[in-house]
Amino acid sequence: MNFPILSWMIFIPLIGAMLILCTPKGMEKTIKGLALVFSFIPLVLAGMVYANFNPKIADLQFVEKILWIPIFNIHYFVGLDGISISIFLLTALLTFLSVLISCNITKRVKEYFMLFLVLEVGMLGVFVAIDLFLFYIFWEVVLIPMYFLIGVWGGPRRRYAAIKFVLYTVAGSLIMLIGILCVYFTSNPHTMDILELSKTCTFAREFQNIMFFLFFIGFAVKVPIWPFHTWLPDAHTEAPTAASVILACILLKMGVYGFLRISFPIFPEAAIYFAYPFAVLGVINIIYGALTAMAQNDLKKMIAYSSISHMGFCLIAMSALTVTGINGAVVQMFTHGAVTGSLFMLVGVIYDRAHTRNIDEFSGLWQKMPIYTGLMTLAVLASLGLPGLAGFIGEFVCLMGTFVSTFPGFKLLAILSTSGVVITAVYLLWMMERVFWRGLNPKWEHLTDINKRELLAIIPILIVIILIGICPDLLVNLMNVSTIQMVKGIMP
Amino acid sequence: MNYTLLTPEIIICCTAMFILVIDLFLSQGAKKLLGWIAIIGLICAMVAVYNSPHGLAFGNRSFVVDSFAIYFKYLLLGIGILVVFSSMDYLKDRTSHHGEYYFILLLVIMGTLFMVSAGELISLFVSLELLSIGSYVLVAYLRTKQGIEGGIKYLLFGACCSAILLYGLGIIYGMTGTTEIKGIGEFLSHNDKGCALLLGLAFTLVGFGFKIVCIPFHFWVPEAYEGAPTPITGFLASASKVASFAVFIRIFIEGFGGIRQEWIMALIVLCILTMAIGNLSAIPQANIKRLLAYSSIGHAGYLLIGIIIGTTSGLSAVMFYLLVYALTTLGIFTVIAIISNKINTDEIDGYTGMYKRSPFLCLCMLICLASLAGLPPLAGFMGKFYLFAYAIHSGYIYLAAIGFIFSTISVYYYFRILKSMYFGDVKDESIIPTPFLLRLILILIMLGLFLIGILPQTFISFALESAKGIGCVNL
Repeated sequence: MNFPILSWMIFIPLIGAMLILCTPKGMEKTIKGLALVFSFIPLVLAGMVYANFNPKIADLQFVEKILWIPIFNIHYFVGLDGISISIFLLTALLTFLSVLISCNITKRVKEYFMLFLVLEVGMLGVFVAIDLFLFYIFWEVVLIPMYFLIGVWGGPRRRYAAIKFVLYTVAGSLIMLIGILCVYFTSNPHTMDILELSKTCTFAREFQNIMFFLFFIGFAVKVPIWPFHTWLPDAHTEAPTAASVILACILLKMGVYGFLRISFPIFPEAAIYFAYPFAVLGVINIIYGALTAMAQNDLKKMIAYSSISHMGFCLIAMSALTVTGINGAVVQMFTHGAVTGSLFMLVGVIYDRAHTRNIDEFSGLWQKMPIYTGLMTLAVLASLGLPGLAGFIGEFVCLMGTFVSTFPGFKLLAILSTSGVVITAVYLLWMMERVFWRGLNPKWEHLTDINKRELLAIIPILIVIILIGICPDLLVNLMNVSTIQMVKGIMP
Repeated sequence: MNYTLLTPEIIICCTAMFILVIDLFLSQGAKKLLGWIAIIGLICAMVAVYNSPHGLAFGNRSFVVDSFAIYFKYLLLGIGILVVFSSMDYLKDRTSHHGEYYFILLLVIMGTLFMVSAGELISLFVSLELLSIGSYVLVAYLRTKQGIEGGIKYLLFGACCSAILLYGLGIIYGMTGTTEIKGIGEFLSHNDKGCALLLGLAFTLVGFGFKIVCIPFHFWVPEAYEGAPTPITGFLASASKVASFAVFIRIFIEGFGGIRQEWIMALIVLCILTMAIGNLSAIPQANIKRLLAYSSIGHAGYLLIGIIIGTTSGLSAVMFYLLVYALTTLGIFTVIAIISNKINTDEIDGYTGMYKRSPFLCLCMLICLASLAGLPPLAGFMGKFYLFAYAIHSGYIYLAAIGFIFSTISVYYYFRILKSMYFGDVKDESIIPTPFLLRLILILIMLGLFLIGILPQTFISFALESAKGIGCVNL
């Protein structure tokens, strides 16, 4: 197909942002309409990408490659393969739904939707960039919109959370930039092409270890891996609903995706060398995140820590370096994105009505909000890994991938990690009990149930969650061939 | 004798004289015309630079026109035009002496043009003084309390450093027997360097350290930047720095390139100190001009990395970075000038809730600050990328790492300005008027920042071609 569909997808939101910039401030309806249209077009295009994607091909598809900055041999190089397609499609879907759920924004509407569309450009770009430089640019484009989304529309401690998010990310990404430059100048011939670097370039062992470490810091901040995680609870808690959704579902995945796309294929020996520390960090993430989540009284903070816990599954699964493991990491990326996205949206719904997220203050909400309670139950069950829903698939494939690893000791790690599933069930069900069951707190007599617009935003993700839960092949088949090729490249 | 090589300088000189004369015949209301005359002069000079052949004007190397000089002349004239544009609006209600202002400004610009062409110590020193003395006057031009304090401080420091520089240049001449920079290089490659020459070298370093503003010769900067009329602050931060770096490159690479090992350690130490102290001191500043003064010190530190690299690529990185830095800085100071016209303060607190009073200016400020902080896809990122790439290529990974650490810190204080502009609550909602012309200029600057950031190839290869004018010692 000659039509540059990926570029259109990336840059159409940018056109939308420009149009919104030119729209007068007062025309809020037009602005919201524009935002919806320009985030819907990429979604339609995403549907076309899905329809035209051939899951039997391991290599990149929809490739566009143009020489961009000859002096550094930098190309505008985008393409999709099995590893990136699922999360790429999810990005298009979730951005549209996030725009939809934030249509009740009244403060500085114009800037909000403009920033949201710019954010989409960065996110879509990261998942298709196959050139290190291009990847870095998209990686950083996300920064400023997110800073403003948290800082302007966030909760009481928003300024602190916003600058903390920026400083952590910038520090991490500049360290990664050193890595990019070192890789570029060490490769022969000098290239920024991720494919070429992973296929033809073999670096010395020590060099690989150092570079793996530099990239690790950049990605670890985003994932986030303990002990680089402290920005996340602040950012998630203070951010407005839609920004929390984007943070948890897409921005965190950028870190995991970075490992899969860059660190592992380019530095295979280092990936094997660091498998144990990596897996141990994963286990720490799982257990630490789950235990901390249990202690939270703020709904959003609880889900934020549960994200740390769930990302741990991606980490151990990746470090196992088995086909199932890598598949698991990619599946978990997708399912966690969908599940946590729906959770954050649902929390946003209740926050809009009650203006609090304190678990202690709620009680017996099911009497007032039956539909909402039903949806929440579904999302929570998906998050704690009930078979038949998406969350289970992600965790199960991850743990299976870890279990079958040839590295000795990984079986033990997999067993340790299962404790995370148990703790997750404990705190989520305990939260359900405190918030929704029990007798109704008279303070909440006036609460109304979820409205149509919110339903419209949440139902599609829930459908995806159920669909993947029942028929995981839909997802796994997309990536399997690419993963097999990738693992072949790493484990000789 | 080839006077055609001097055409740009002659045009500027004539324009300056013409302004001084015509000022006498203009009524107070028509003074704006002077600014337009200055701009026309600068544009004509730019055309002359475009048509200028390469060569030596006086047979010796006292006035050299090579690709290196041409690059800087374009840059300096461009800066001049932007500074005059932003001055026209800024001066309107602040002073009635417009003629002298443009006269001195044009002479200073002429000084910078001579500086980048100076291939010989005496012409170098004279043109440097032309720049310096004019700048002292311009800093104190509005005769505000802070302006005079800044001007005096600048004058005292400047005079002192000029004396030290002159002494150093004298020693160098005494030891090498030539004032031509290339001649010095040739002499050093054949003969043994003496102890005295190193002394001369150290003095020269002090003199230039003052001009390019590196630690510990920076004490005049905060006061001078704060006190000066805002367009002049922009000029000092861009043109003065650009020209000084050009001379610095010429003398240290072309002249002392052969004895690199003697000064490289000193420069590395200065570079690290400059990055560290500049960026760290910027954090607590409450005045935006002082904050930018310290940040400009930090940027001088990054630029020194390129000179430490010392290869043609390294130099072209410096030149490219100077272009980016000058454009961004002028953008910021133009915005500050417009805003201070209305709110009469440069305190960052005064910017609280500015997004409501002028979304356009805030957007410009956002883009410029993001560019200074080095965030893609803006020009500032490309500048840093190019510079640090060659630092890593030449084995100075630790310098690049230190540079990146301080870039991260700089993000904090740049974003502090954004924070008060966008996150703060509004006390006074009156609109800040932006003259149409300046609006247009700011839009052009912003487009330029995106253009250089997204399609840097043309600019980089131009810088690279121009850097070949300087004979680098192959490393």
